[in-house]
Amino acid sequence: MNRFLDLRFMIGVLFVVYGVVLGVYGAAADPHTPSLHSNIDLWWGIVCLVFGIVFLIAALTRRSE
Amino acid sequence: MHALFHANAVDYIIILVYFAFVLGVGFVLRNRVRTGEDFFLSGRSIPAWITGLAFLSANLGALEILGMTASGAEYGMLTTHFYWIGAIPAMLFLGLYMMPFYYVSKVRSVPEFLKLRYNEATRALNAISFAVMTVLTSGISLYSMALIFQILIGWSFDTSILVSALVVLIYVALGGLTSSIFNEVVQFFLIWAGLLPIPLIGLHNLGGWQGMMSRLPAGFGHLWANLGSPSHNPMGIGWLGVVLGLGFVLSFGYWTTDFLVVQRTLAAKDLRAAQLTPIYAAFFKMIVPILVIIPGLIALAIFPKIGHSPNMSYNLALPLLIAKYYPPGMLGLGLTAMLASFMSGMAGNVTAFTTVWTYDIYQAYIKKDAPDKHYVNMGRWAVVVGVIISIGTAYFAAGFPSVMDYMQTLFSFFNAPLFATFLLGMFWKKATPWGGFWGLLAGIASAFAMYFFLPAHMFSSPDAGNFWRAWWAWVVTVVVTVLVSLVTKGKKPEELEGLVYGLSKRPDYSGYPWYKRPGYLAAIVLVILVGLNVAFW
Repeated sequence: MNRFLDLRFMIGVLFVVYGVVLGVYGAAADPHTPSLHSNIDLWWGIVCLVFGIVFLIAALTRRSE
Repeated sequence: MHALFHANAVDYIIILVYFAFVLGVGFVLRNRVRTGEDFFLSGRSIPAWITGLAFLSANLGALEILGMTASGAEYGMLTTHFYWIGAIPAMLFLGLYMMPFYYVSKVRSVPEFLKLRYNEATRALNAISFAVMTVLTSGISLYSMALIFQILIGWSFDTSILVSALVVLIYVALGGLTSSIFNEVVQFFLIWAGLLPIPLIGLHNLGGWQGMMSRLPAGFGHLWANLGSPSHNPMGIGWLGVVLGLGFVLSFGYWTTDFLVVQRTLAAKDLRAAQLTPIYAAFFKMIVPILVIIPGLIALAIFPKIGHSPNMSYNLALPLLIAKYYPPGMLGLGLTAMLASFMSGMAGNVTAFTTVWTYDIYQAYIKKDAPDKHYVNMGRWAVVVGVIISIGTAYFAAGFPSVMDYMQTLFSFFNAPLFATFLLGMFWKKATPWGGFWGLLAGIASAFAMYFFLPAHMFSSPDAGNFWRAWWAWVVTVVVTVLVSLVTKGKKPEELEGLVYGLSKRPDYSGYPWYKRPGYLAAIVLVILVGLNVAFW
């Protein structure tokens, strides 16, 4: 039982939440700024989601060893 | 006042998620803090990647981010000297040569090491000056943060101060150093998540690196080419000042003796992890300019009037880019990144203050033999008091902003004399207890004297002044320590075992593969560092 594996879990959870919030908002509202035409909320939300999932997988697989 | 951004509901949701998260971390960790060792040193049980990121993030506050972006817009790539020459060599030196003494001696704080190596007086001098400096610094950054949030999203000064101070208070008092370290690591990732799109979008829009450089003044892409003489570059500094003042004394002083950062290495689980802490941090430190200096250059390319128009100060370089590029959603993430870096910076100050106060002042001089639990409680109260003093300082700073500027500059070269004391203490066994004390006192006094009595126009720029004052304060400490050591009585060799080079065992990692050995990893950092300096010559 190493509690510092939990930090990976915590970071994973936070980034999954941020990825979902950003991605869903981006997909639903399709926000733009005058100088930027791609939907950065959606794309960056996906990046955050993937990053969070990687941390969750790292935390969970290490724990089951 | 008209705010620069209009935060939407989604932005507030993202900010609230962050507050809930840090408070949650504090509550989860609360039950795991039982002993003083847990509260003040995280039980010496943390792996190197975590302490490494915390080591880096404790220094990467919101002020640092805004200030370095501003500096990037004002001086160009020259600002990178603060990262590459001004941090990496010192971090490697700490990991390879100083960590064995710090970690093996089992000290709980930097002042405690001074007590073992020199004497009680040296410890008291360092403990008190550090405690005062730290709470004041934390108040100054609290003030600046409130100011930033007032300008950016129109929060009132009082709200910003009270909300963030309260959150920091709760999570540090509950989880101690572990809470602080966890949040620093989370902050590191949040800063990348919140700010990395800026250089990506900016460089894309400007047509890549060459496209950006073609819109900037000549020489903004160089590190060393214009340092031949102070008059040839916008910073007003020659290469000798950069190497001696910034590269040597200022950065070594800060990264190797400031307890705020050193405390993170002491929390590592073993000596190898402690040595790897600053070396891992060095890898990440090298890439931070992508987040701060490149956006500074982008800001100058996009807003050519920046720095020369009343509503476009250099300090707004990063906020202006956020306002230009970020829609709602990303705006929340960018603000959270800044909020996180501010709060973990303050938490770092508060935890360092708490430890020095409890162990080096309270336990040393006020109540010597209380049970461990008593000191944990004292630590929790010290968090409360530290935060309250910070709030007080923040309001004081609001009344006298320029006084605070001076104080921060003054503190910046306080560490230079301390570095001389450590260098002599760790590598010259003849340095005596009183030699250490008088050397340190003379160094600090000379830093003060130079700051207040030398005319400001002696130096071609404020940075040049800081670099040279730090250098001379260092020289004064070395000279006085050596002279006093020659005429006073030293410690016996057996008292110095484990504290001084030549009387200590060198760690042996020959059984480990290369990627786990501090020496090899440090060599890799050094090669990359040289490569970067040549590439941006």
